[in-house]
Amino acid sequence: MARPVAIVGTGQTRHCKARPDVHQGELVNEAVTAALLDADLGFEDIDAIVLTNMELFEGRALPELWCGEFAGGLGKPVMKVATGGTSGTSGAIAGLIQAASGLFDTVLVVGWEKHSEGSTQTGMSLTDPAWDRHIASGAIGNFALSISQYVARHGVTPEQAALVAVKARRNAALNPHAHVKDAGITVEKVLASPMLAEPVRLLDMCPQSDGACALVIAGGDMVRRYRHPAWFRASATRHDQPYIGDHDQRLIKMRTLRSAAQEVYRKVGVQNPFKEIDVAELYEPVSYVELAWYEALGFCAQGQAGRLIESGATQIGGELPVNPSGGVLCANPVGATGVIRVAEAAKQLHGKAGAYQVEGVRQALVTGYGVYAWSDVLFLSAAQP
Amino acid sequence: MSAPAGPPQGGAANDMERAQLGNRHHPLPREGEWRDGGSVNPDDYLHSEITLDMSWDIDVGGVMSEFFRRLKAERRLYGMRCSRCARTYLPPRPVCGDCWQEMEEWVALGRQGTLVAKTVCHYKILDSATGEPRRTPFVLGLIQLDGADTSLNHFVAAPDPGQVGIGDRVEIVFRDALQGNVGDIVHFQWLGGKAGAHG
Amino acid sequence: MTVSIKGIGWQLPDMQPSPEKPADRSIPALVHQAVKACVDDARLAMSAIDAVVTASVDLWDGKTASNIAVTEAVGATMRAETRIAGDGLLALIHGAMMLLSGHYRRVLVVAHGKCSEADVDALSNWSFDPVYQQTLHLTDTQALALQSQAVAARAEARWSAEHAADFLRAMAAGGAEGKLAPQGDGACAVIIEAGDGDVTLTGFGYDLDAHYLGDRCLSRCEGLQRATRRACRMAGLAKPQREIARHYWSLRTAWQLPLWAEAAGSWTFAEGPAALQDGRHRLQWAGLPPFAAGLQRLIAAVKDLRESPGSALSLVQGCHGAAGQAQAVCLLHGRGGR
Repeated sequence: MARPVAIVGTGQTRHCKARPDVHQGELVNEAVTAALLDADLGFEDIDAIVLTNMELFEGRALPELWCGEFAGGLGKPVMKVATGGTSGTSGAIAGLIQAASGLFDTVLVVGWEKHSEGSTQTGMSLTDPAWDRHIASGAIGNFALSISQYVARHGVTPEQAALVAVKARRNAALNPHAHVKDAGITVEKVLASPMLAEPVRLLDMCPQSDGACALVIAGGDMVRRYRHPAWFRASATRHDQPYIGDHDQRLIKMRTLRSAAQEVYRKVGVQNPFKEIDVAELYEPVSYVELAWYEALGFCAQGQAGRLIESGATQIGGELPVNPSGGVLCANPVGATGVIRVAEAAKQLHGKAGAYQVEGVRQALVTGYGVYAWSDVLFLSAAQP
Repeated sequence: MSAPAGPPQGGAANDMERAQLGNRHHPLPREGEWRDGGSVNPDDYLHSEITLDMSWDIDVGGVMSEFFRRLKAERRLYGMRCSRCARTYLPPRPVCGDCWQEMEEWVALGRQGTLVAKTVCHYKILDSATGEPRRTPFVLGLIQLDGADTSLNHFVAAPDPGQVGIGDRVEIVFRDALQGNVGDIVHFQWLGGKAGAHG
Repeated sequence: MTVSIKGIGWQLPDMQPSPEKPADRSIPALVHQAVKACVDDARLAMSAIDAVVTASVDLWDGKTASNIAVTEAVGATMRAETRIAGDGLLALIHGAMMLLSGHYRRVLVVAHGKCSEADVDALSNWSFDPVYQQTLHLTDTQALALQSQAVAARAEARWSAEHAADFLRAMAAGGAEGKLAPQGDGACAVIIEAGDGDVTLTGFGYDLDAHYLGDRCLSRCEGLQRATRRACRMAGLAKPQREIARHYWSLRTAWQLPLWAEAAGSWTFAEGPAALQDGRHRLQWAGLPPFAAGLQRLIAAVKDLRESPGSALSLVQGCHGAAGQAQAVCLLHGRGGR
């Protein structure tokens, strides 16, 4: 059966709008060196590497051929995983699976993106040649369409969504790696920010960042060296049909996320996610969808997400802190974003989250999101499987 | 002037310090020396601009080719219906993903539909027809054309974006001289409130 | 635990549709036809597949997240899918690791590539680092030319200019015409399963060599040496040269044949060019799609293993990146007969 594997180290850069002082390889190297230091390992200890990056955003092709060396990949088994927004979580799952296969005792996963170097608009414009390219309305417009249905059918208010943004940016103020942070943010500030696509405002949206994040995964005897490994328990992935309108309320109902979460809960024996999960790092590109995904993940009943955010239960110190790191709303280098979610959940289990450490974390949930409603769900725990 | 662009050498200035960090490891910046957007002066670093100027001649495939052929011949959109789950898809595609079944049945769709989602956009995008920025605010909607089970994302034309609501009826507007490509659909004209009446 | 090849399917330029039926050569159609053939060959329903691993490259397809186009065609709707950017053989190797991890039982691997929709050589310039090699206007063709020159020079020094020319003539006579193998459009699909079967995957290995061409000795291929060593170690092979009966190479140039064969430990320059023509080294010169070549070579190996009586060990090689910077090797064992 599956060999137990765990995340034993993480490292990331300080995500920000632009890093003109490094090229992509150097950015990767910063995160990798930090992760190796965290795991107390050297490059020579790594058996295999998984890289993730959405190359078209920088206008590149196969950048891992160039940047792989900067992750210590020269002469090693190296692969690149790329699945849109879920690249980071896909890459993390791929790395965990490769270690679980028994072929490698240590696997390094590193994701990165340097949005400042390219045109993300252009990078995303190479979409369906017959159809989507003509609309080119971008991610914001498409999110807003689903959100308009959420608002119309379930009465979610801009104030409730703003509470998500406030939680995120205040948490981010405790996170030295976060890009967008604001300890003094308020609901009023969010509601006063420029409207992008109704009802989504600027402060409801995630940024585009330059950044990299790395994980060190270990299996077999290697894991014994570590006092608090973040054990991999289960994962599930669902992709879905390619057009935004293929399913009603696409990004709210999230059949992919529901199904993936149910598979993971079943595999790990979780029956009441809200009670049994100690911390969650969700891939929430917009404030409103975090609310919808509380429902999709079973943290609360359908239509109760607004109440849940208002109760404070998803704050640090609440019953189920969601995105204590600040989440995607506070740092979004796309190829790395999913890796950051996994790293932040692992850090909570490692006890290394510093000012935003949640007390007594034993079980952590991670999600990844991309394209139209592609979902990854991972479950990490302090208990060895 | 430019400083040499190399990996951040922050921490270890000499071999002794390197050894303290663990001489197997590359030296890391010390606390306070980590680079982020605020601590870097872009003028200190070289910048190289390269332009990707590439074109692709993409085969849109049998289904979309037929879709556009019918659009041009009949000034009408067609969806495809899956024989197993009976869903009618717009845009059509060769395979029903849920059933993993090839589809063959074309279904003529109405020229009117219902707005199932709507947003008013305040950010600039380029109008691919003119190459000019689209006037803001503009209305983006998900339109479920009569006969289709999926909805299409497209622009909605209305005199007052604020008046447009979910559930309202819209009608497809084609360009006068059809060319058989997606640009033939100009937008969807808002027909008024839920009753479908104007004004 | 073993991994077996359960089904194979492909859609390549040599499968021209009849004149009456319009040729649907779009990526989703090519991929779907390959997957359908594979599922039929495996005598399975799509519902029996746990997960899909795809291989494609965004810039070649002209599509951000190129696997969006094939989600429905590969059965990834409400199913796990992941994309490896690179040669399809790498996707198969990752799929095998998924099976070996115990988390999955049956994986569909799909690779596709087209060269007819864009100037793929010009595109390849964008896979070179932007600081130095890209600005020199390097492309795959030039890297291959440099590599060919290097191997040819070694051949001429070891044998003679005449023997080196003989080698090229023999290759041309065998169908490997011209300096560069012409690529094609296509897709291929393989289903792998945990457990025993007629054809099993006994070992695999992959490697990333240096990116700067000047950092590599182009007349040798260390990347393929390492990848092959890893595969042979996994398969428990003591003497690969004796134990491997057939080799399936992914070639872009004629000189890659001795280059790959030597790197894999299957041949030495001392044996001379004739030893490469004895039937143990199989190649398909024309029509291999970019990024689907390695998987197509694996399919060819599987077909041969199914048809040949008695067991045989086959080595399959795939690569991508400048002059084969990234290498992948699979070792297949056949029980013989079907």
